[in-house]
Amino acid sequence: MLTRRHGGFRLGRKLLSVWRWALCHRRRGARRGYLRLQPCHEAGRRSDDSIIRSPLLSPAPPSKHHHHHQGFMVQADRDASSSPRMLTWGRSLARRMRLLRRNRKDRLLAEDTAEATTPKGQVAVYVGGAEPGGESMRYVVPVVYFNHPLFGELLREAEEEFGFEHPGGITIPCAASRFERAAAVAAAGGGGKKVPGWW
Amino acid sequence: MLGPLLRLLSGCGGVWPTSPAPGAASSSSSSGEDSEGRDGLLWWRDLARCHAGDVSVAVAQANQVLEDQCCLESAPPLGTVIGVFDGHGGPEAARFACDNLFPNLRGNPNPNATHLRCPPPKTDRRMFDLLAEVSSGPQGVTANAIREAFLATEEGFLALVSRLWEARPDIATAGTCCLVGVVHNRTLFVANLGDSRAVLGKKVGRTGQIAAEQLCSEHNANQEAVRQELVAQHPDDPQIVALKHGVWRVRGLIQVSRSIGDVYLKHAKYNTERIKPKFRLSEPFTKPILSADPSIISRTLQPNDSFIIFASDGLWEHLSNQDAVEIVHSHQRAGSARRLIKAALQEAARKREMRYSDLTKIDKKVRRHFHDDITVIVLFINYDLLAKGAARGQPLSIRCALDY
Repeated sequence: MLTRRHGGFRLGRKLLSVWRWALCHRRRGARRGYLRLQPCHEAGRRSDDSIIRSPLLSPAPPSKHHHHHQGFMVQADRDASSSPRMLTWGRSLARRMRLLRRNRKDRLLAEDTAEATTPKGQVAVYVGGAEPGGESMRYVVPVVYFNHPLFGELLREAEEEFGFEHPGGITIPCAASRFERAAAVAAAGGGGKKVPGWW
Repeated sequence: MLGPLLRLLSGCGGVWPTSPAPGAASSSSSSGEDSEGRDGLLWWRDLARCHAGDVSVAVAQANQVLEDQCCLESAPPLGTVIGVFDGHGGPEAARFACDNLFPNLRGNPNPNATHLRCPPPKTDRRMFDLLAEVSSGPQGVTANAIREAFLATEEGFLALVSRLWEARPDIATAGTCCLVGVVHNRTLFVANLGDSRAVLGKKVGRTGQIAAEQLCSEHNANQEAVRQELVAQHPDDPQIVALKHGVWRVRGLIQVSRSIGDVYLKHAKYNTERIKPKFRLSEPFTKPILSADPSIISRTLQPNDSFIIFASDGLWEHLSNQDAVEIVHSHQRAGSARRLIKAALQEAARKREMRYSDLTKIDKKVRRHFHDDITVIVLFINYDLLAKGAARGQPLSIRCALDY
């Protein structure tokens, strides 16, 4: 199948490697899945070595990513069946080429390859435990939730607690349950594109 | 082969054409692409001609009401005057300083002026009357004259506060930083009050590289020298600087140590229960905690002085001096200010673990959690023009058109 011509288009070894990579990753990916409100700090730690760091001001170590296909898999992926693997491979190839080409002057203005950990349209939020000893959970929510009044309330509290200029991602000092409630309301109230399926 | 494909894949934006670095190649003035635009919370004026050369302006809003103001005027006899005002606690102080610092030197509104919004005429125009008197005098522009103009503005704002104190006590907690640049013949004056910053881009010999030189010191309590100065001025006050939310602040309230406005920290009679509780001081003070005395430098422009970036601290929070001058140096002149803002916003988005394209979906006020109001003015110096002393083109006047 791999070397036979089919309608004038020859499938080469590359397609085999792509399929192998896709199948391997599909098996691995199915376990994680994609849950919008899933606390994924644990997953973040696991896939640390496969994340592309934004080269904006701290150059990424390129060696990790040249020889390992899995290195380009974005952590939170869409439903595996719906996204074509060739498209993902094409995107990762483009990203690789761009990393090779970019020089220091241009990197500040390059299109955002930033933060492969956060998908497009989403932003990371760190929600602290209510008690001092609680660990903070990392959530990934759609950016438009921030415009919702409930989130405005949470951000006001964050500002009183930490100020505007804290390092790292947005940090909200509230209980995780309260944050999840706010996110659910924002999801339902803002167009309801992704209403939880079991309602 | 992959070049066009990559451009297709990288998709959105593409506002800035990837033109080769002008650098040494273009010694003549820019292509004259004077486009003005507005996109949501971003306003820009890509390029305009002024007496000193070319200028590029851009403003990005983050607060509910824009607290940054900027102003540019280019007309004889003063030459080119640039002002960046970073307000806090409300927009009133920045607007007042912006209106009262810049004279219309000829006394008539310029029919060719590129006013985008005409500010309502103010009766209190002491600052620019003073500058106008000074500039027509025998000495021209001097550092003392600029200092007096600042003090006059401070007095004017104090008078305004005393007028409005009964009706609007919150005006006592409004203040603004001021960064003023004057290019008069071949002399550059930079006066700074607060934590805005002016950075000069200087060509390095014939290497084609660019070096950054900060022109004025900042008055921010996070600097050791400023803290020591404050402690020396207020030996009886152990709480004069305090760490809050990880940054040093004067009395735990405000980062800048000098400003226009902020009368609640300058006159004890305005620090009463009528202002918001978070601004109240537990103990009354006898001498003003903040001052309105600017740091002024003057220098003669040299042929290798290429451009000056005047920007509020919203930019410098995310970009270093060297990064900023390299960005300006390695792209075409038109749109430089907008380019700097884009770079700062990309860095801000990266810090918050999100994409730059998603930052634009966030409303103002919430945006403040990601970045501050940013104002950038890039002045490209045309040394030959200044050396000849030729008046160039028509007078120019620019005001930011966001949310006035």
